[in-house]
Amino acid sequence: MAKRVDGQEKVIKTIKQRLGVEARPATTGSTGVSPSRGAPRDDDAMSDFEVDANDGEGRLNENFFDLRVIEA
Amino acid sequence: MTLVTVDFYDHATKTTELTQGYKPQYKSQFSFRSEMNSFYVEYLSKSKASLEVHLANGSGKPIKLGACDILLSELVFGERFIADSLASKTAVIEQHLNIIPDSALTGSLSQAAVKSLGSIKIKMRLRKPIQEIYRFHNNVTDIKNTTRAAGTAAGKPGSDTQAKKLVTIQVVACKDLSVAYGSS
Repeated sequence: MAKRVDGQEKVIKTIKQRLGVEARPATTGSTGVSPSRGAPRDDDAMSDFEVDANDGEGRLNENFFDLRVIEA
Repeated sequence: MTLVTVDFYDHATKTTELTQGYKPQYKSQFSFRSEMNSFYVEYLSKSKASLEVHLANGSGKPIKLGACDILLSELVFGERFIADSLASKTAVIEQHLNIIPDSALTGSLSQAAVKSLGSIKIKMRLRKPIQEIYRFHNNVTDIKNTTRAAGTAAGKPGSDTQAKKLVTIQVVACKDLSVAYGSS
């Protein structure tokens, strides 16, 4: 089967991830994590950010500050 | 070999991977999960996250080369959304931060002589919109201040003057009440 172009793949990944996240209960606590370690991560379509598959968007009263330090 | 440390809100300091070269590619991502309470909203609208660049020199202590700040209010007041079929998502903000050299590093040179060590390219976003919550917290603060002001003599919150004392008198009944009309 022909491989989809990156953009489409990203969008599909995000949709799947969101559908999964809504059904999954959110975890507690607030942490900062490095991308190279820890739980599996998905690319967040429409941005360069990777989102921890376990994080999603957190609880209703929680928010995530995502920061990428790219280069100097 | 250099690395960058990140300090944000009440989270522990995070560090990028050690990276080599004069144009280091850190490519590190951090996700800071926090409760959106009034402290958080206040912090985002008024404070800065700080980044420090350190030089790791083998066995010795790392040397701080310089630092820069991320103005977080951009996340609140410059909030933009991107078209998304599922929900409104906040747009990613890209910035080039000027690295101010550490005073210990510049030594005898004046700060004017060494203004910058270069810049760090960052991208940031809040995963959920914050502006509505900011407005809500602002309104709550306004209501609290107004309520408090009504209870102070000067009419301003934090006034040193003594608070007004309100006495309520309720008339329950009157007996043999007579009112004189005119000048008889």
